[in-house]
Order: sequence, then C-alpha cells, then structure tokens
Amino acid sequence: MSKLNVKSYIVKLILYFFLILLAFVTVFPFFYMFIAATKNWHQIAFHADQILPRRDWVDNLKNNYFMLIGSAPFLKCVWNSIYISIMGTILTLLSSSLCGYAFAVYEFRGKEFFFWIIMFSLMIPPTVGVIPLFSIMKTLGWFSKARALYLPMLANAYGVFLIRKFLEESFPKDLLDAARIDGCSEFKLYCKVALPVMLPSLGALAIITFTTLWGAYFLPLLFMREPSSWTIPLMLTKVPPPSAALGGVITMFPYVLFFVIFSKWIIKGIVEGSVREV
Amino acid sequence: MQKKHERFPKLYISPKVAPYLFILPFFIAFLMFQAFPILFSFFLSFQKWNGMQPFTFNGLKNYIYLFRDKIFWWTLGFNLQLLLITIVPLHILSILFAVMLNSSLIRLKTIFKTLFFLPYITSAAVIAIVFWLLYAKNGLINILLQKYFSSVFDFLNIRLPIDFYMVWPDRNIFVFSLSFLLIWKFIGWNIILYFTALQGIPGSYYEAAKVDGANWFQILTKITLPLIKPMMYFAVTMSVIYIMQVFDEPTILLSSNVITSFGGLTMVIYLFNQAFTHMNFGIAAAISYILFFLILAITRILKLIFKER
Repeated sequence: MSKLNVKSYIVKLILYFFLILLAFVTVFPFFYMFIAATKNWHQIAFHADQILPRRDWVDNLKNNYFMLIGSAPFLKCVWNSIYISIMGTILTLLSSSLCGYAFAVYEFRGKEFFFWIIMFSLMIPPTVGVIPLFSIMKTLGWFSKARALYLPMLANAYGVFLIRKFLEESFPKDLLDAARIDGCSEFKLYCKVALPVMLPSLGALAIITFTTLWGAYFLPLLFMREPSSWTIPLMLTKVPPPSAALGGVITMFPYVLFFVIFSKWIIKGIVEGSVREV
Repeated sequence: MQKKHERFPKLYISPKVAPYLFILPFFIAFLMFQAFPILFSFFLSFQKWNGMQPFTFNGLKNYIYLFRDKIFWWTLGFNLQLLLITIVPLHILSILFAVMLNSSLIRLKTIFKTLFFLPYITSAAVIAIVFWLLYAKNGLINILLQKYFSSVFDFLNIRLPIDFYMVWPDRNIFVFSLSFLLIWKFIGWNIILYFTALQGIPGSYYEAAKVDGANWFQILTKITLPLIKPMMYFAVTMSVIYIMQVFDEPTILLSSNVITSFGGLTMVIYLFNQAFTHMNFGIAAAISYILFFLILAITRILKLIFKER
C-alpha cells in the first residue's frame, strides 16, 4: 500500500467516525424515547440509565397506554391533528397554486403591487399578528374549532412565491395560447394544463405545510381550549411523562417511517422549497 | 367554441377577470388572518386593552413600560444570549459536517442525510419531551454524570426574573441546555442546506487548488466558504428568525407552569404571559413590534456581513 492510500484511509476513518458519532447523537434521543415508553413512572424517575427493555415492558406499555387514553382523548387528538394538517395542506395547495399561477401567466392591473404585498408579508415574523389573531378567533367564536387552524392556511405567502417562481422558470406560456384557441376556459386551463406542470413544486409545498401543521404548538395552544379539540403536540404536553413518551412514539412512528421511505424525495422537496434567493 | 360556452355559461371567465378571481381566495384570507392582524397589532401597541373592554389610547406608555421593565430586559438578554451561543456553534459544526459529508471518500450519503434530518421533521413537543427525559434531575444525563463524575447538574434550572435585581442571566444553565437542544434540532437541516450549496461547486475548483498545492484548510477558507456565502446568509437568517421567536421548546421543557404564572423566559413567552396571564394586550402587541424590529435589525446586519464584496 502506498503512502497516499494509507493517508486517505485514515482520513476516511476519521470522517466516518465523526459522521457516525453525529448520527448516533441525533438518533439516540429518539431511541431513548422508545425505551421510556416501555418504562413505568418509578423506572423513569429512578432508573433512567436503563436503556434496554426490562422484563415487564409489555405491562408497562399497556399501563402507559391506558394512562394515555385516560388522561387525554388520545384518538380524538390524533384525528384532530390528521384532519387539521390535511385540510390546511389542501387549502394551501389550492390557494397558492391558483394565486401563483395568476401571478406567473397573467398580466393585470395592480399585479406588481399585489405581489409586493405578498413578498413584504414574508418578511414579517408570524408572532407580530398573534394578539389580534387571537381576538379575531375569539370574536368569530372559532376557539376549539379545527377551522381556526386550517383556514388561515389559505394565505400562505410563501406558497404563492414558490409556485410563481417555479412556473415562471418552467411553464411554456405558448401552451396556454394554443389551448385557448382550442376553446379552453381559463379555469380549465388551470386545471388541465397548469396543475400537472406544477405537481413537483406542489409536492414540496405539501410536505412543508403538512410538517409545519403536524408539529405546530403555539397556535393550537392559543385556540384549542377544550381537550376534545387538542392536537397531538398539545395533548402530549398534558399527559404524564411515560405516556407522553408512548404518545410520542405512536404519533411519530408512522410519520418517520413515511419520511425514511421517501426521504430522498422529501429532503429534496423541502430544501428546494425552502431555499429562496440563493 | 361558442357552443361550448353556451353549454357551460357559468364556467366562462374572461382572461381579464380570471387573474383577479384566482388571487381572490388568497387575498381574502390574507387580509383577514395576516394583513389586518399585523396592522392592528401596531395600533394596539399604543392602546391599553384587556381584550374585553373598549381600548383607551395609551400613547407611548406601553413602550415606556417595557423600557423600564426589568423582566422585559431580562428576556431580551436571554434571547440574545441564546442566539449567540446557538448560532455560532450550530453553523460552524454544520459547515464542517457538510464538508465531511461532501467528501468523495464517504458512501451512504443518503442514509446519513436521512438520519440527520429526523429532528427537523419531528414536532417541537416530541423533541421537548425527549429532552426532558434526558435533562431531568433524575434523567439519563444526570444519572451518568453521577455514576462517573459523582456530580449532578440541574439542566432545567432557571433563575427566573422573579428576583428583580437580575438584569443579565448569570450562571443560567438552562440557556445552554436550550441551546444544545436547538443545535441538535437544526444541525441536520443546516448540514443539508450547506451540502446542497457544496454540491453546486464544480470539482475542477478543488482540483486546481490541489494542483497548486493548497492544503485542506486553505481550500476550506479560500474556496469553499466564499462560494457558500449566499447559503450561509440564508441559513443564518432562518436560524435567527426561529431562535428569536422560540417558544415551544422552553415552554414544554419547563412544563410551562412556572413561567406562565410569573414573568417570562424568552421574549415570546413574556409576550404570551403579558397577553394571556395579565391581559395586557397592548403591552404584548408592543413586545411583538419590538421583536419584529429587532429581527429586522439583526437580519440587516447579517446582510451587511454576508453580502459585502
């Protein structure tokens, strides 16, 4: 073995060492949550260093599950989260694709002004509007109602920006004129011609929106007052630790599995969807 | 063509009207849930309001109140300290790991990327619960510390600004615990951002540098860093925006009771308490605007740092 080969072999070892170390640090807390889900109160409080399941793990799992459904309407909360995330994602996709499409292919009076408003709103941190938003929801009587969380998703400024950028880069406008001559109505143009072209960027937008809604905590905490309207993150903070760990495992697992299977595509979507002006 | 429109008279929209119809759903929701709240918040910051009774004009009193309020300064200090001790290690580590991952010696890049990305897609609540298990007094880290170093840290110890003499959070372990959590959560995301930027650098640049006899450190500082500067600007800005508004993780980690009944810990927690514990909506709105301008100022400074030629 030449000297160069030995050197690159050592470098390779060092690189792998650090990468595996980071991977371990990243994954270990999740693994620990799985273990905590199989422990009872006593073991969590006094035997935190047991990181392998004990003999009574099945019983503990059962107890934790009963404690979970006993202290919060667990299944209802799961359903709420699914419902809100899916509705919010659908609304975001609808309004952003319509609006982004309009900005990308039409010329109309006030276009630049409207788009400037959208871009400007992107610069404002969401916390700024929270107090009035709270009052609006209160006035409308939308507390503890799913729509308080998913209807505002109609106004996803980021989505509009994304779709417009995507369409301007890749959408052949000649196609529209051709279709118009064939007697296609404007709405049909959007449905039949533009939507299929948009699919990749809609996929990215859907993933980002769904992830955000699925993990949201601040707004649900403000609006979702009754236990029957809680979402999963809210519910997890209201149950005792062993059950919270179990709840975390149950609610995280399907999503993580989905993520791991489609990770290549999802990461690409999120990164391409998030990085702007770079 | 004419016949078709007669068959579906309602579906016909002229190309002149269509764009307005298409942007309508967005703008109705936008006015209601974004533009109006943001503007109204500005108005509110000059009013005294408890959410029920009519407002009374308060002039600059909300801002003056905050200016004199030690808790507010404490939370501001906490936020800035957290920002500093999180962003610097986070981005240095992210760039280093991205460079490692980008190396041609490494296989299984997708698996590493997937694992690193996991915390980013996990909800803040789950992450906070996991870290509570690790940080708690009898948690895993403390048990290990006790076993091997016979010392115990109170990772969740906060010196709340209940003691009014405190202005700068001193010996506050919690800010470091929180910082570690945030670094852990965002490192994968940032690694992948930088990795994406690195993939855009043509390999010929590196080869040319190697031919000229540059070592890895020179390559890093003279080629890699300048070329990923735009991405650094984006990534650091995103981190600033998140960290300045951090609420979920500290609230859940500290199981919220302590901070919600007294002052605040981060600025947004303080805003939350002013609004929903003390019913001072005007003061809360003022905090939100101060926060906004603070974030704006920091991102401007970042722009100066990263965009200079």
